Amino acid sequence: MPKVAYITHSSPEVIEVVVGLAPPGYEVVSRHHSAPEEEKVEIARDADFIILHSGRLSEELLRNAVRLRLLQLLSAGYENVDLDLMAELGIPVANVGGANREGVAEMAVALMLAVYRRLVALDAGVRAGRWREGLSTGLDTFELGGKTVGIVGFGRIGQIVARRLQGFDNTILYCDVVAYPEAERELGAERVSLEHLLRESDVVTVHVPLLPENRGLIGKRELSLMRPTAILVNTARGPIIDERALISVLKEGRIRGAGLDVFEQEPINQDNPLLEMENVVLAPHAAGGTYESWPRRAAFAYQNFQRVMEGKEPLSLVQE
Amino acid sequence: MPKVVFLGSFLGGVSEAMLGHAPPGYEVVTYSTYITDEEKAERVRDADFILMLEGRLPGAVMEAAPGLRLIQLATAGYDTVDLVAAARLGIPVSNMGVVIAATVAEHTVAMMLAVLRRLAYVDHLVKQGSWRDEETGCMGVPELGESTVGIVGLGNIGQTVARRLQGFESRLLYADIVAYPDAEKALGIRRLPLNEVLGESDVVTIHVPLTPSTRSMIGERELSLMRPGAVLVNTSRGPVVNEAALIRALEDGRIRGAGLDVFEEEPLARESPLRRMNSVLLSPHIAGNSGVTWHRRGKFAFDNFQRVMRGEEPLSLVHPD
Repeated sequence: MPKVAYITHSSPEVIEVVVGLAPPGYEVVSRHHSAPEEEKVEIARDADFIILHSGRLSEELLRNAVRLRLLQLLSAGYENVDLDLMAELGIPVANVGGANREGVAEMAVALMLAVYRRLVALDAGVRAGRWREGLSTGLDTFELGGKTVGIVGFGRIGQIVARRLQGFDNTILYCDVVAYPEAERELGAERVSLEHLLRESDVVTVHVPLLPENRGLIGKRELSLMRPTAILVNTARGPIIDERALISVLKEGRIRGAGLDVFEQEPINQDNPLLEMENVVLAPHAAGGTYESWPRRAAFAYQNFQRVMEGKEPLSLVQE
Repeated sequence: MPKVVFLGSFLGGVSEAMLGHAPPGYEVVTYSTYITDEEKAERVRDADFILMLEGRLPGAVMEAAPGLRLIQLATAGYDTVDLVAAARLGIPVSNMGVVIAATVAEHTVAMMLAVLRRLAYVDHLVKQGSWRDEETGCMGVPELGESTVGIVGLGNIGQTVARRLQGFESRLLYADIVAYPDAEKALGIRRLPLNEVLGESDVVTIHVPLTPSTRSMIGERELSLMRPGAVLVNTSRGPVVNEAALIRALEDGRIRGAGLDVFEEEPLARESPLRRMNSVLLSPHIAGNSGVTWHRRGKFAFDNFQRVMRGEEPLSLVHPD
């Protein structure tokens, strides 16, 4: 009987969904990250599989997990896993494939619209009795329809963003190290260089993984290429954008606004100037965490375990 | 030389953008739409056209303008004009839902997503120092793509909402006194009676004009037909929804939340319980606002005046219920 150790920061409701979807014959034991280290080491010791959602596993835990056949993440990002150690131990690591892509893509579109329509500031104004204050000109909300949207990273999530935008009559540009000719045709997207994308887009949305080469991908120079009326959305990983450079361009009005679900430091520091900015909409790295995503994530994990049990290669391996 | 009296709410940049579309030879004068009816009557005396953005236009003002050839509303809604008096005086009235549809539809979709994601509340919590916890995520946020969206009123704006949602793969339903078979085919949307649309939708969005027959059309009974996890979005006119009944449904948790751009009383009353609810997203009746909309509206208005000058029927005529 395969044993699964499930280590997570998730709420009891999420844990119940993930444990509840285990196929017959699987034994799943879960621990919250806040549990004592010995307990986590103990449940991993004889586990065939580990399900990890957010946070890190200690080297001790991994070295003691002698039966481990797959480390399965419930997230798309995998920057919290020591891939060198996993390679040394010979244990494959898989992310969650596309199971959170719809949630993240919807959040990216939600943030684009919220920044353009100034939803958060308007809501605060109405509540405080400042009806239409700050809208005195009537010219300071914007339409996504017909604009040029630049998608940085055209993998699973980036492509769903393009799909969600199909009804908005946008020009869709993307940049990626890989070309996706089929998706280009189907979604009406055009592959361009990052520089071209930044110059031409009204909305720039980031959907690349945090690989070493993507750290600081959107830095001072890249931000300076953006249009003064453009907005930037990040639902990928904080360090892909140089946050200090972003804060400067927002402060100086060199771009119009930003929608951010991720930050260089999480939880976000309370003295971060982003917290004071009216043209920024913030979320606590929750883009992918929709109700519907958890059953999809859990189902993906258990299917991957079945593949391993059948001697097949697991899907969505993240090693280079 | 045709004379246009513009009665406007947002002045300054908005007037400039709209009135910049006046063809040569038009005389255009601008007043705040919030002057008294007596003043309005005085100002419109020799007008050929009235262009009105918000405010009210009673029959007495129309009577003061014997040469009036068209009342052109710069809005989709036309509840502000005494249509019965206009009909009696033989003055045509046009709205411009067709050019406002894109802007309102986009605000509507923005509100759907923001209410489902509770963006305003979550932004507030993050700014207060909270992070991902029971309140701010991650369980219990439904996806729009997995939702059934019910559109009440499938006119210009309702159809544009359905179009904006095409990429979301949501199931689309509508209720309307008129059937739109072409739109049904093009947009993959199905017509059902209002009761069934309310009972089957996760998101209900309202796009009917405010007329005597739509006043309070979403009342206690209709709200009780909605799903417990459902969201209501209203970017049409406040009195279409019975606000007291909506507040009760929200307070009792009988629906998940609401996105409201319009209210029974505007500006929203200081003591309204809506101001204290985390499950709602509020905006100050600006669903139709955007930088580009004013150009579209100005162009539509002056094109319509030109039609009348050429002896053609104006576009987008509205009639009493």
